[in-house]
Amino acid sequence: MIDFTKSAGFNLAARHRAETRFQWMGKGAILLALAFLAWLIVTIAVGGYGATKLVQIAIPVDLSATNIDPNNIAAARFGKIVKLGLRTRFPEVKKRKDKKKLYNLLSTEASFELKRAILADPKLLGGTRKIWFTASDTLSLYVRGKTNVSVPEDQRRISDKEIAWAADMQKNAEIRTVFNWGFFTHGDSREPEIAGILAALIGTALSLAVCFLLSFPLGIAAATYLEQFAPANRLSDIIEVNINNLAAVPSIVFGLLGLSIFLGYFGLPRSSPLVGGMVLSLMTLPTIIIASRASLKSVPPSIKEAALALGATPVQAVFHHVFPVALPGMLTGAIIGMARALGDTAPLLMIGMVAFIVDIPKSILAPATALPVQIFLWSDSPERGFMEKTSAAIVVLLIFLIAMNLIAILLRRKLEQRF
Amino acid sequence: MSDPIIRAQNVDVFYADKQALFGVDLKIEEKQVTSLIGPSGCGKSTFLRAINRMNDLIPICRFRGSLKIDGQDVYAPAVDVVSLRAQVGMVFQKPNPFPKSIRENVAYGLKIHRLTSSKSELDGRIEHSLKSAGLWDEVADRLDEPGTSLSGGQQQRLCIARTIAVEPRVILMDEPCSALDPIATAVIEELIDKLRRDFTIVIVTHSMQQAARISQRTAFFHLGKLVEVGSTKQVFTNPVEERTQNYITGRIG
Amino acid sequence: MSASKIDLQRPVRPPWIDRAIITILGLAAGLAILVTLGIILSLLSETIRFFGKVPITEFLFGLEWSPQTAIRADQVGSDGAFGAIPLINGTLLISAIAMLVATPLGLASAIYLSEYATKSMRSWVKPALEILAGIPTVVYGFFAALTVAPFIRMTGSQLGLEISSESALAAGVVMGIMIVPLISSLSDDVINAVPQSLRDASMGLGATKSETVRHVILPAALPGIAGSLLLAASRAIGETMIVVMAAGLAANLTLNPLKAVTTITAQIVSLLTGDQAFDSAKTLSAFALGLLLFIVTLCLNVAAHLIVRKYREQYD
Repeated sequence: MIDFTKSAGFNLAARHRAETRFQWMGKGAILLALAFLAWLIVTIAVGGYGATKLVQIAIPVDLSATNIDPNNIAAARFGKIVKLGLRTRFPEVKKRKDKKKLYNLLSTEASFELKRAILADPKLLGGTRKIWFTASDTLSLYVRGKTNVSVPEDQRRISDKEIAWAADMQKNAEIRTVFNWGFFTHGDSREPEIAGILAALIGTALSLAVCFLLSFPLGIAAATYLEQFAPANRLSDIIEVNINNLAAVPSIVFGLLGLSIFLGYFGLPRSSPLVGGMVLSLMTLPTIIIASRASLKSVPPSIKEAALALGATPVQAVFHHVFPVALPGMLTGAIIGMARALGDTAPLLMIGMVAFIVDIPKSILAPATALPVQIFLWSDSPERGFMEKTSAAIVVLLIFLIAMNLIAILLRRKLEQRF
Repeated sequence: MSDPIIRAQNVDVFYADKQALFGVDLKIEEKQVTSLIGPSGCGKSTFLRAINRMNDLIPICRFRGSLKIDGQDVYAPAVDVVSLRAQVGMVFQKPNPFPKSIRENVAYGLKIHRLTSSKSELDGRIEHSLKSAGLWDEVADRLDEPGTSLSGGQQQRLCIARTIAVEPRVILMDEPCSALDPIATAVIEELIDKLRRDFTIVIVTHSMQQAARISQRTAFFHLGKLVEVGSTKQVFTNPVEERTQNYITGRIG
Repeated sequence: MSASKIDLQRPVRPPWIDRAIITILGLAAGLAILVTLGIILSLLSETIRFFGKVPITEFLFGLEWSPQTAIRADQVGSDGAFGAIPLINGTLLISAIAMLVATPLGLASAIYLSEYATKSMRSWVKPALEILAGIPTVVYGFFAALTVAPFIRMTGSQLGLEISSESALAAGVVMGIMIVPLISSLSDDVINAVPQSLRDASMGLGATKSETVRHVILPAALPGIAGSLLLAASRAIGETMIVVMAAGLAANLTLNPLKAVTTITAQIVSLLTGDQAFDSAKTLSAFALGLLLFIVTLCLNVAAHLIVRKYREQYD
């Protein structure tokens, strides 16, 4: 009598247990990789959330004519006025050491904030006004509950006195937390509460623009040649192998090329988006060529043949008929290549885009930094506040990456619908 | 005639919403060669793959009805497909040796099912299987060469040797000669005739001549239905159904 | 109006236009060769100048790397020791850890996705793994240095292990996670290329799915998988930001994954980001390291492509 059940022998029980174990290994591997992804994203999102908050304190400042000449506002000593305001708010502070601690409540940017406020609204002049100033990093972290106050005073950055003053101000609603727009409108700064990503964003945008303008036309030209016109000879083979290998060269090597040839040999300006974009375009070029060739290959040859049969030259057939069909696919490849370039850091370090840049770069020749490099620089800073900024900058970078990839996916989908 | 070893009753098979088999009733006798013939797309391969539940590997494929082998319902919940396939072997359309040595190809089933306990027993079974498949004389001195180095006909005999090594009760063959030249086909046909002594063989073929040459019983499928089944002689010389008549005379195909 | 005769010689437009356009396109394609030549020439020329200051034997076999200060007064090159062995050791150690993490994870997920997962599961797990591949390495570096390294250190201290805060382990593990999607997507392609007939043959004999995978599919896919592992290894060796941020600059010659090591790429960055005279041995050594890196990764890539191409031919 034949038996097809589990009791039929063939060591079935053990083999099915092995099967289950094997499946769980696969599931486990996927779960582990995705858990890591979740861990990374949650850590960074939580860390970056803090950077959206800006702590401000209200200080009564005396803006009467004794302090500021209305006819010559720029000459006023704004720093001194702010400090005076702080001392008026806390008249009991007398000792020099304590005064210094008192001033520590404020960001060093406060004097510039006062100046900007008055220039924007001269009507403030002529009396004592309560004005909101950015708090220092130390106070800001304390107010937002990021400081462990249970440790002994000499082991934390905020002193008991400062905590007492903060408590007093909180009682009088003189401390508030607002959305930190400055993070998106400022350049870099030594002070984490002031530092922003605008300069880095502009640097990245300029570099990517240079990169796109160079690598896209060159990439699709090379791809068109290789796919449509290249004779089947040794040279074409060499070019093809070359492109495949370039796609896998470590990015830092392109940085070395940029340093030695673009900076060393051609003498182009160091730290500039021009050179950054050129280096990035070398990296992006193979990606664009490979993607564009795939796109050209997917165009049915019948289209080209129809054009040729009507008497078009091969060049006309390609440019009038094959090229427009393949263009969205080539653009998709370019966007994916640009997304990679957006996140790449190492080659930019090589060509000096690591400088401390406060000013917004005005041209592709001006010194600049880029968003991923800014992340690298901030991640190296010891201040706790910079850790939040780093995470927030990463969030911005990831949002840009996701946006670019989404565009690429949508483009691809549109392309697929046509065939 | 003894009890049939395979008894299919009212078998329906669906691919998603498309029905491929309609109420097939078929009995297959033990130690005989039964051919399933019919135009392509008629469901003969689907029926064959339903017997050892290879259709389970296609997620959209559903089975309805009753299919019993030796009285055991193949689709009963207690059935273990691994055990089923170990006892109902299959040879495929294109020769598909594993990219391993000839020896390992034959040893594979024996190893996974732990059917041998010693090296010498394993070697003995390998030799026996290759001899049964009529391949031994050609490969005895190169058992460690890759199975893919053999010719097409040899590869298919290797696949048969691999199947019979496990000593199944039934061997299903899905157009085993369709990828072979006429000489290799003749060798395989001769082999099938010999194997009939030890195994029950169900073979799908697109060649009516082949069905006539090697099988004792023939079942004709058309558009998912079993049209006619009977002794090969009767089906080819004196069919009951008009559609069978039309097919064997080449009017439908 | 006279009946015009067919003139098969008259071109529709001057042929030179087409020739010029094709030439321009060809030049763009030729740029790829120019870039490769540029890389080789720029690295080679600086490297040759470097070997004018430091003997090649010291670079290739020296056991000490400290480009900043002279170790001994009679030190060749007089401004440091340029033995690349500790860097090669560190690079290989971190890459090995990364491969140890990524190979099982990447292969297991590729097998699961191609052989077991339902279509709907594939459709969201694959893009999720691709996100892992799309995250910039500077982000991994930040995460490795500020989250994973302290985590490993803490876990270690609870087990009574002394783990450096810039341990090779932290950098290696994070790098491993980074290359999981590379291995899994390449292996997935390779596993899918194994003909269905082999699966049928094995299942038809009564093999379980995992037996089919282990005994039939993996051996058949092995060359392709080896190719994808080589590509992944090349990626790990050339990876820069993770090691710059998480592995540090201590040129220890050790195989202990709990100690800090440094890598070729981390050293290139540290040598070239400070203010340096362009001609000093210290600066030039970065190019020698770059050439070494280029040669090693190029060999790995070429080998990987050859293996994969041979494998494709087998089943075409």
